[in-house]
Amino acid sequence: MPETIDLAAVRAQVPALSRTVHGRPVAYLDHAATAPTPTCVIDALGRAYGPLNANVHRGVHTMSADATQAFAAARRRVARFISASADEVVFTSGTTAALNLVAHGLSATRLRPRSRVLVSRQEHHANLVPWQLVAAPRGARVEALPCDTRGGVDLEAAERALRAGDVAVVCITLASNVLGTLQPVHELTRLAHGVGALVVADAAQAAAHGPIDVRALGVDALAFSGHKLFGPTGVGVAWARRELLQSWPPWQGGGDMVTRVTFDGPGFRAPPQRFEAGTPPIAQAIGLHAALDWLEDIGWARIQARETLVRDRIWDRLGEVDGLQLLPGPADLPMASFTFGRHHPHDVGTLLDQQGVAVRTGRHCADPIHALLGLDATVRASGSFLTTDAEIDRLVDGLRHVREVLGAP
Amino acid sequence: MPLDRPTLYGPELLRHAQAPHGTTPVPDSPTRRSVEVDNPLCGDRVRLLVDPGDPHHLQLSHATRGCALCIASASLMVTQVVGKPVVKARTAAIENTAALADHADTPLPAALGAVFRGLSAAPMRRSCVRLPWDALARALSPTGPPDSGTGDE
Repeated sequence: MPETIDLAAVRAQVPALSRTVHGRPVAYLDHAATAPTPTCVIDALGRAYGPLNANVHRGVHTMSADATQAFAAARRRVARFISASADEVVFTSGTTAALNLVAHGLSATRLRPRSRVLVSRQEHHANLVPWQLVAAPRGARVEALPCDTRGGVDLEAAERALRAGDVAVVCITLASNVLGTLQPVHELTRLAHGVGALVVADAAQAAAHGPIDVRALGVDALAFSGHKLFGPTGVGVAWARRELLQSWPPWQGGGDMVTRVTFDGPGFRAPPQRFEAGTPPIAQAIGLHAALDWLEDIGWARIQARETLVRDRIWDRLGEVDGLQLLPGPADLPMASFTFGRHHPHDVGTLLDQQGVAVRTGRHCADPIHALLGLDATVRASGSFLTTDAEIDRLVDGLRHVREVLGAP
Repeated sequence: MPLDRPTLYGPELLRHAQAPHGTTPVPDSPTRRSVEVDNPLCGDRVRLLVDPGDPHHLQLSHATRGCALCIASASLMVTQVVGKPVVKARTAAIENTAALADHADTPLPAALGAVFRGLSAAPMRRSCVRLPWDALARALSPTGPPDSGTGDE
């Protein structure tokens, strides 16, 4: 049994968790939107904008060399987190930019008229809309992957859809940001590769819950954000197999991604620099490095053990609330989305906020899964290993307050 | 100090939300117009039946599906414009839509402020209160109501 986390000590390292909202200590249950930033990451950003404050790459002075080394170290750290090579790691501004980069690259090299891009119904818009943007001009089609009643991939039906032909790309989230469920990515990847299709995985939610082994997973490209795993906003990672990256044309043009530029045309650098035009997110990457180290120091086994307890308590306690309808589960991640009878999620969320409880309401940038479930909007409570039992209990108390104000759900 | 009562969901708002005015459909007539607007981000939907046939006496009803703020706003709107001159209703729609713009920093008109007194603490909810007024502005547009759309257009 892993040693447990000293929650109080670790929470003390996360300043946002000690603020008050409407006069009450915050119960922060919106980790799936963004994870609160620990002091070590804030300090890393301070160093990046302090003594390391210089531009990277070709400066010959010491400050630039120091910044370059720190930035390169961050890239190596990310590569280790996903069991990849550093030259396969592209820093972007976030998951959305990363998936747009991947879509751009694959559209240029893989999409033809009649090509099909299959996308899961649990997908965040970041791994759907970019494909819609690139597919249309090329005469390709974006289609929904066959799914079960809760939007999870139906592998048998997916295999039939794949064997129908012309599938160039399959897009799948490792974990739903609405349901908190894990998708059968490894199995789907095997099926996709069987027909020559490539697999692009959205790891924005999953990355916060443990290292990802892209080799073992077998996917061809993957993206995640720094801020969802306790790092800074403004940095994300696009990973793709080396041979894919090498085959893709540049995504954005400018400095740093070129070898030589004349008015006859530019020469382009090899990946990953080919896809990092301009000044990269230097400080943010350094902050992400610090976040990954912080999580590793706490211990992933302990983190995951704690998350299991948090998940169970969220589901157990919400299951006790009369009139509350949990979305299909149970979740694999420490989160739950729900409706509360006739009460609109925005009213629920606002009243919870007035009790100091922070949840997310709406469609969570995941229209297809809401459409599948026949829902206009939902409330999402998402914890992490930092979440206390008391915070979950305050969510339930807050729902009781919602009932007192708005009436029976 | 913890709050004892919510400042947004006060008794006036809840009265409008739970027993909204103006839900009996306006009778059909050659001058009756129908406008529907929705917010695709949350599912709030307002359908208005508006009859400006008598320019001194506007008729209006609504069918609103959505959050308590949206329903309350539609109900309050009915009390403010029904039976009033059409030109005054049009002016109120334009003024209230502007006052409820996402980044507006001016105080709400008194009638709105009395019901939505806590809205300043929940700025993301301005769109909920604005939606019925968006619908009314469309319905009373001098060029006639366009095709139904979102409140963001």
